[in-house]
Amino acid sequence: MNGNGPEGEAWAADGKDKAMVVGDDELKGGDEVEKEGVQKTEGNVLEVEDLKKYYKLKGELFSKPRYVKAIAGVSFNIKPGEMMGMVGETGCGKTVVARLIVRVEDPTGGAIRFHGVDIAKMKGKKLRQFRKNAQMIFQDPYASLNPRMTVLQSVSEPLFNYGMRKEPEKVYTKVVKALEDAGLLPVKEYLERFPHELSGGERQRVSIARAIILKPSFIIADEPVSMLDVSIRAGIMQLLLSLREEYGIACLLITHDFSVARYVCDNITVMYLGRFVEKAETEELIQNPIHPYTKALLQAVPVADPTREKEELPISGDIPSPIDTPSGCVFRTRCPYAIDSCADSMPELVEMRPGHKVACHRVARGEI
Amino acid sequence: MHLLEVKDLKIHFKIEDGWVEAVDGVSFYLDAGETLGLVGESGCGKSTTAFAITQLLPKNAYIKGGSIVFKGKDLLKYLKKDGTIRLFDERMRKLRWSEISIIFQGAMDAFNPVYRMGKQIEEAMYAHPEALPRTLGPVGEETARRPSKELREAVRKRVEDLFDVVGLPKDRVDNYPHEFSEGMRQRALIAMALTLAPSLIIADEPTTALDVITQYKILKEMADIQKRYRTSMILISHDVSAVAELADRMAVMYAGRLVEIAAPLDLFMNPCHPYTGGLLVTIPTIKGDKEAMMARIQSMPGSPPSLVNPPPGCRFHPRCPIAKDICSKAVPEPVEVDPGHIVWCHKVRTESEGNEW
Repeated sequence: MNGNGPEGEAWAADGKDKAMVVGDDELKGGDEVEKEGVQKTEGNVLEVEDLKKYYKLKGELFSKPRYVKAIAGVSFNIKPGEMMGMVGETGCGKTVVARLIVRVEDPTGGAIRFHGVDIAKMKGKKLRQFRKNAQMIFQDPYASLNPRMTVLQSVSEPLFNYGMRKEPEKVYTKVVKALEDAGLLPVKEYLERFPHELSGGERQRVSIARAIILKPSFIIADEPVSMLDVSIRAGIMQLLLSLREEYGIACLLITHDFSVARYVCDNITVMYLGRFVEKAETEELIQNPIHPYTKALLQAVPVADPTREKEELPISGDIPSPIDTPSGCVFRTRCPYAIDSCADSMPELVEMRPGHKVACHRVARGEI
Repeated sequence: MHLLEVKDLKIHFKIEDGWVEAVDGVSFYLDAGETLGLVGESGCGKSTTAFAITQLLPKNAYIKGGSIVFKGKDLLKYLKKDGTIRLFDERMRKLRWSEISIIFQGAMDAFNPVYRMGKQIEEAMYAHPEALPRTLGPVGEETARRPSKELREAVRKRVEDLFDVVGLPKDRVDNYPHEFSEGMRQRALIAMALTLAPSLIIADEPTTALDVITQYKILKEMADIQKRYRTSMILISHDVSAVAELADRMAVMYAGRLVEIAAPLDLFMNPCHPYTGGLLVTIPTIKGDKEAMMARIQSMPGSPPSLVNPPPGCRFHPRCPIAKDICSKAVPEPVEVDPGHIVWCHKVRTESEGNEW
């Protein structure tokens, strides 16, 4: 067990009796984790307003700068305990939204309010505190765990980072609890294992234990089941739902798979080229899609029904490049209903039915 | 006679710790013009089975037994004595691509990034002069080392026609792979698989990396082409729903063995093997009532076994809710519950003989 870093040595020496190796302690004692997150305000966990992220492209000298408009102004709220799904094709900007919310990247414009506090420009210690409350589960459980750390080390690492270095017993009980919550039973069998000794589903459960150990009020799950085998997916989706039941954790679920979103989420937003095109309660969206893009997406989902006839999809072509997006409605280049006036202005989300918003000029005017 | 008949195929991989019993006694057949869907979780041996047909397996793969009869010839006769593959066997080389072609999973990795698309597809044609008359007509009979202008034009035209078939613009033939989107590359790969009009296409997870809309279009394209040319196809995927939309029959694999073969409708309506049943209830859907779906979905306990020391008897018994003593002792024999619906399960066998489980 040599060369595993301070935590590794401490655990190797049977974490309970021996003294823990204390790292350079920039943060104070362990009760920091104990305090129940940021003071929980009434209302929304997360409010995102007109969020924008542009990436500047390398151009020629003196030429007009060009941008990739990855996110071109999206707004949404997430209530405590709400499961929101974000669905869209590759390259539509789903993951960028996630990266902006956890501040892995800085937004170009707009506000992200977490429990009422704007985190878009937060820095230093405050940002660190925020990160404790907003955790992320990544797509690839094979890449998101350190191969040289045991499950115990991996899951206890967040606690060490947030000032519980001096209390190994407390850390141990917390790790056991988190692994129990993540459904890795019996916990004792898993503690000393390395990631390569775990299956994909078990690894994803370790990642989830890692995400919930700091008792966050908000989790972003970026395609949490897309790399897993079908027989294991259901278990992970049920785990996400049970976490909401038990801790009231709100969740933003990013996926390309409508059936996964339907199982887990309360609300679904559909994204296209960095914008929201439709937003509604899950069943409403799936049963009565309005936007032509959502309709096509839903039609394309394979259903386990061999009797279904394969119809021609109404939309053609691929997603256009996000560098020079089409003017006006970004979907008009593939839309079967597009008319000339669609190029004039960008459609806003308009409420067409109670709680069901759609961004389409022609829908708003009642033409389709 | 079936186009392809695989009988009791056993493929083991030699590794440091011993042998991985990747495929163990797989038997199925395929008729002309038929699509067989091969489904199962990762590591269940579906790709290994399919690649054994073209004998494109790694050095440490040992085919330990069985037969693969394609158009009346047993392909496993071409193996070395110890069961490993003779990669450069001329008889197999002539068969690959001209008779059996493959649509690979990663379309980006399947093309050479420094050659133009069209050139790569033409290359496959020049490598199989014996198959050219079939696709090009009399021009293709030329056997000179340097192809004549007519032949080159005919080959070029064939590539352009195929681009048309798979829905790619003809003027993109001279593009490089990186200039194509993922969906277009997958289409080009399908075009490449069709060049020599093979009688069997093996599609290994052809749409797994694609978005739903692209996936839908590619699957539709494949279904149309398959109908048009009456090519047989083996479609490998972990996505049961996607396969069900295309396949005439579906074969479910678990831990290196087949557990059930049936027409998609039979499989969904009347899954007989506990693994198939368990697998189907884990799949969420966007159709039907949400409450019913939420109530239906159950996760399957446990995970697939290691194939280094697979469980004795039925390999599913450690996860099986209805397993009995016999399941851990004897390998289940196939039972035909309905015409064409074959199940490898002790319970089903016992019940079909009129006894109680």
